[in-house]
Amino acid sequence: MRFAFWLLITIIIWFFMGVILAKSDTYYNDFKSMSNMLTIDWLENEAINISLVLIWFLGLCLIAFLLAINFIFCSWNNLLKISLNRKNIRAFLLLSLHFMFVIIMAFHLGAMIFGFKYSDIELMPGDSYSFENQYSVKLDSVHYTDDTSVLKLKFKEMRDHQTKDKFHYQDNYARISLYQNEELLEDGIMKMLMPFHYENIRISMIQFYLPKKGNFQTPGVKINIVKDLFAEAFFISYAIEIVLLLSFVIFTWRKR
Amino acid sequence: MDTTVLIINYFISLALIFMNALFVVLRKYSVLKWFKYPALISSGASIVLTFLVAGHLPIYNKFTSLQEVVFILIVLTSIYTNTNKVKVQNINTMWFFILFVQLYVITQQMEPNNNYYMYDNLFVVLFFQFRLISMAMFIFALGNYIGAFKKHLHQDRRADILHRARNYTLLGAVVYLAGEFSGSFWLYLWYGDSWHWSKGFFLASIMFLLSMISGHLPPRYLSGWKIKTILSSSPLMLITLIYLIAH
Repeated sequence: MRFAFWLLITIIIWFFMGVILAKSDTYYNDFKSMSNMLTIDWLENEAINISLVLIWFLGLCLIAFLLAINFIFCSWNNLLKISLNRKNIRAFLLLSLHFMFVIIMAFHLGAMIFGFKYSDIELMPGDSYSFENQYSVKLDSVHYTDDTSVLKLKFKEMRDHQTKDKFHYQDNYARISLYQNEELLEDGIMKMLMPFHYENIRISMIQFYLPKKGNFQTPGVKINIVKDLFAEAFFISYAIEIVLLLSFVIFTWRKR
Repeated sequence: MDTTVLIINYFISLALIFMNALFVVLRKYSVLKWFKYPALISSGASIVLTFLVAGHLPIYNKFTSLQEVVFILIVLTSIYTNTNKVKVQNINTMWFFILFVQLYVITQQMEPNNNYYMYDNLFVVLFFQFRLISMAMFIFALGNYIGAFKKHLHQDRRADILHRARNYTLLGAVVYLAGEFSGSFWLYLWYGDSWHWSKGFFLASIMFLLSMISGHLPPRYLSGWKIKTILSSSPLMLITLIYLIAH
């Protein structure tokens, strides 16, 4: 327990350092590029130039590894024995919620390593974007009913203008097609907060945009393409963790 | 209806909360027992008025969110205020925390944020609502931990208060996690992935990990109630500061 306590303190301090780095102009973009691709791909790129963010990330990995080791020993020596000896629901819940936490972390790790992630891809109607495994996505058309001049504003200004009465996100959509080896796999529409799916591939619309140069009448879209094999499992285990923690609180609410 | 109504209601709430805190100082517990209701109604009205003025529940904006935090704090305080004078005294220090939060609102820009189009998405609403409910629970737990330091408190009564603080720390963590789940799903719908390496993600992780500290104290810190209480309440103090200042 002592080791777990100090590891918790260490990881909190580590995240505080992350906050300071992410707030600085110098390292903000490093974290942004880290989020824009799979962490494993970012590591491959970053391994060439050793940056402070890379050192911070490797430190985080080390702390997470020690936490995992601590969990294994703690589960074996304490939680599991208590659960088996006492055979009470409180001990069982305590073990289960710790176990589920490790599962969630494992899915986090999986999402950093497996699949693919392409971010901030700008497409105008008729444009295509090719990515791994001979996949390509084509923006067939854009249906946009609101004032397009807002789309030329900076992000924060755009956010101020995109109120419910001025931006009707349910009415604005893009029609896209997904191909592999030039063979159509699926086509359909995507809206803000309503991504396009094909198996484990999600194509999400981040925002509508208008190129700064040129006189375009119809906007294009900025998209993310993500293949996350663990997303569903992650959310299910996350929900189970919440239920387990809530059950633990309920079963231990009354003072013994 | 415009922002002026919200500001007027805010100052009415502030005055009522101040009166309640004053009754605590003056030890007028029988008055306090009934006078909490106007404060409860006024702070509850801030949520309704926010909806009428801005078209959405308190979301993101501190002026409206903190008033909802105050409302939940008054609800929780009222639940544990009953006719037993001893129990009333044990919970009444919460009024100073409620007054502090309500006063802190003055430092914020006194207007609700605009009705951003995503604010009618269920997961966006849940993310912000769960977060502020959890903050109220953490502050309530903190108030109880600090209340346990009152002099001449019977050992059993102190144990009750500390257990209540422990319960609300954990319940706050559950609600906070439910909020993070909703936020994660919001990001998943918007960007296609459930989390980003960002300042917001690090702060959110820090706040959750801080809420877990009291449950992971080494055995040698568990023997004396004072050190245990200090070590359990300090993380909650940090969570509150992060929410009020950094977040």
